[in-house]
Amino acid sequence: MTAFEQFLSTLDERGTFFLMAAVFFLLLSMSVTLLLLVRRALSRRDDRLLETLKETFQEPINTLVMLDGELTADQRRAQLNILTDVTGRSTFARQTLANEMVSLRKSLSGAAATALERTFVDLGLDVFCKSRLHFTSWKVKAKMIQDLTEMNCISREELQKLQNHSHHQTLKEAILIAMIRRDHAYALRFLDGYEGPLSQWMMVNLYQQLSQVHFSHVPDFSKWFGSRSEEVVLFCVRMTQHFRQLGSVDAMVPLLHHTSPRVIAATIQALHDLNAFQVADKVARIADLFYANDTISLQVARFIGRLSNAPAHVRLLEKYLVHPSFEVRHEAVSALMAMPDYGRNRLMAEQVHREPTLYQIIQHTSDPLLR
Amino acid sequence: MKILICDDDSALVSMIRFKLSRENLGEIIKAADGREARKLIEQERPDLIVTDVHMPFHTGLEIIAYVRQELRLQTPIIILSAEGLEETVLQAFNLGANDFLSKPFSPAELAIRVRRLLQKL
Repeated sequence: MTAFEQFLSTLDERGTFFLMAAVFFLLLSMSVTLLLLVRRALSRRDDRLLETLKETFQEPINTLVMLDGELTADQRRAQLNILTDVTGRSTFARQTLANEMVSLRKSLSGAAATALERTFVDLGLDVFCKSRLHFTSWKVKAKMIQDLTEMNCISREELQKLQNHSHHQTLKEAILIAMIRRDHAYALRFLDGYEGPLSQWMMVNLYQQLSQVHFSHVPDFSKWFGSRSEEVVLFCVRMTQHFRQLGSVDAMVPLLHHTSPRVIAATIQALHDLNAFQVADKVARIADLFYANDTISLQVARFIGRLSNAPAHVRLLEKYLVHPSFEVRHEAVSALMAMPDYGRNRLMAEQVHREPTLYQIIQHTSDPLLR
Repeated sequence: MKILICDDDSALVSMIRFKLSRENLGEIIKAADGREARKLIEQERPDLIVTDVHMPFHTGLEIIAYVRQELRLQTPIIILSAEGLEETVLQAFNLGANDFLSKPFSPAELAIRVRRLLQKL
């Protein structure tokens, strides 16, 4: 009998259990550590490989792009061969080259950009990217669509076909963005009849595309205020605000009675930004209806505080001094303090007793360092 | 002439370097981030600096401020920026940048701008 067997025979059932558990966890932790070490080694190997590939690709890409008009057909073929010799070895190498070229394309314009796009096609990377559009992962598909659009290698018809066959919402949005990038005018048309959701990501992309269009070509967003999609209406209200479409103020007023509180809040914010003081009465009129809604009350307080000092509106601000939301109370105090015929003294004399935190808010608002 | 190119995009730096070298505009040195850029400016005293706005450690705007306010050098500086925001452009010029190129840009145009600034030295 070995020493270990002797030791085991001295253990009772509980002792054996704890020993087995300790051995199990020890083995588990060793396996996890080993796995982490292997993963780290593989990741380092990939990083090194990536760096080597990037260095190998750089010189031929520079030559092909920068000397595009100067190279003879043979010289050009020789440079392309250097690249295809490497990319022929693995998908990883092909993907790395495609990524490098797409990343460069984002920074280049003019003849260099055209030469880069031509080289991308000559290397067959457009075919490679298109073959990846059949992958099941929507992330791979979305990236390929972005890359192909960046390299100007995908037509509107191909995108439309992909759009028709895609069921993933984010992928659909990625295709839509690609379509807009291909054809800026499309950005001005696609909202017609659009009823799907619009994510924040999509809105940011749309705004970015619209910012590149000459302001005279930016559409009148008020024509989509009646859209059935809440997101489309929200987007159009925000765009009216960003592009300062002052002529849309009247069309915006009915949105104060929209079914969505988000649209109402965004509308008041837009009217405030557009300095639409002429609609102050209409904004004030909805205040009572939405007194319990903090976001709308805050926007109303901001609007009235900046754009009106009519007695009825001042009374509304006084009402907001005892609003359950601290932000609304703060906004009302700031607005009343800024009014020449109201100010700090009147607030302290007439209002401060109404709400326990009002004194602190007034002090806070009065302090130039905290304003 | 010594030209410093500061950008964290190594492929783009390599391409600019290739273009400027082909145009015989001088010796090209490169920095991959703001920290390296500051070090090279101090050690190498380049005749011209081409810098991206967004870089790790120090932005291009901080590099301009460092050159103009701390080192008190009049080295010509060209700023490259992907955003092209009016505020960034104004800030760059206020800090003392000599030229501004918005990304995407043409390397040929950059070479012309570099040559023009070097000729003024």
